[in-house]
Amino acid sequence: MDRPIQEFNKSNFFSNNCIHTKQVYSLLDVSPKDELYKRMSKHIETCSTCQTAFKTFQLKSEASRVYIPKVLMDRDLRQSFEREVGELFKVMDLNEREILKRNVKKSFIFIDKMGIEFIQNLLSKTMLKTYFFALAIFICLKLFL
Amino acid sequence: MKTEELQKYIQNLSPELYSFAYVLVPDDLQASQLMIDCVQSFLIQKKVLIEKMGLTKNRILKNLLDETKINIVKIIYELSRKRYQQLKISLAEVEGNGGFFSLDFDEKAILFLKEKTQFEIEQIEFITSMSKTEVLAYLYSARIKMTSLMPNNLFQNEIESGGIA
Ligand SMILES: [Zn+2]
Repeated sequence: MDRPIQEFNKSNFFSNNCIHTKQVYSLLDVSPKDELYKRMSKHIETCSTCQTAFKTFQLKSEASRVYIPKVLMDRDLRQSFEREVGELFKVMDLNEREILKRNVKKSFIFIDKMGIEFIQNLLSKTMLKTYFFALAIFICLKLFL
Repeated sequence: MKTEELQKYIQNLSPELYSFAYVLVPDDLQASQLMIDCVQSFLIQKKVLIEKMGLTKNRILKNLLDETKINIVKIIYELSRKRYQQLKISLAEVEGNGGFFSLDFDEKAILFLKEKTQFEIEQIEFITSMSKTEVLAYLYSARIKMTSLMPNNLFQNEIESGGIA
């Protein structure tokens, strides 16, 4: 690949008359808002060397686009990709129904925990003391009133 | 936004993803395996985000989908870069045929993204984790190599007559 490039550079594609010539490519790829673009487009208005170099570069780049392959995906490959993506969403529990199910399950676990804690609290020492105290008050009230 | 929509969106991205993957790793089975690995990697990386999005309304749907696309393309770039090193020998034949496939890995990637996708230079910077200067340098050398495929005097007439917009 090196030889054609050297030959290409040796050819008078970029003349050495202007030091900015090598930057003309920026006009093709940089956004017009970019500082580099503004600078080069201003320069190119007054420099015929760069103007010609840019035109050549632009044309050649445009024409060489046909060498960039347009790759088409085989129908079988496409179907198998779609199937596998579907599987991935399933395996990773990413379908909405799965997420909802999981959240509902989580809330049930939470409610369950609350229930167990509630019963545990009912049977705790503090609560037993409270029951005993309440019973004592109840008996006292029954006896004296 | 439903996660089913995201699933469908990713499934429909397949032609675009495939052509990028194939350009980087020119083997149909390797390229399609690469795509699946990328989607899996994306889902693992963004699982929490996707779940949250799955249960919220689709106000920012477009943004999320755009973000999904650029992130998957970024992962394709990163994964294929690693895999390219492993497969280099078996890909030598395709690259030996010259033309586009004989460009360097990053030249191919960046030229393809610039010419065959809608991504802006800033987005290409994100995908390749490169600075603007680096991206432009690769683009420049790729263009020079590509234009070297063209005969030198092909456009002399048009240039002399100033017939280019
Ligand atoms: Zn100049």
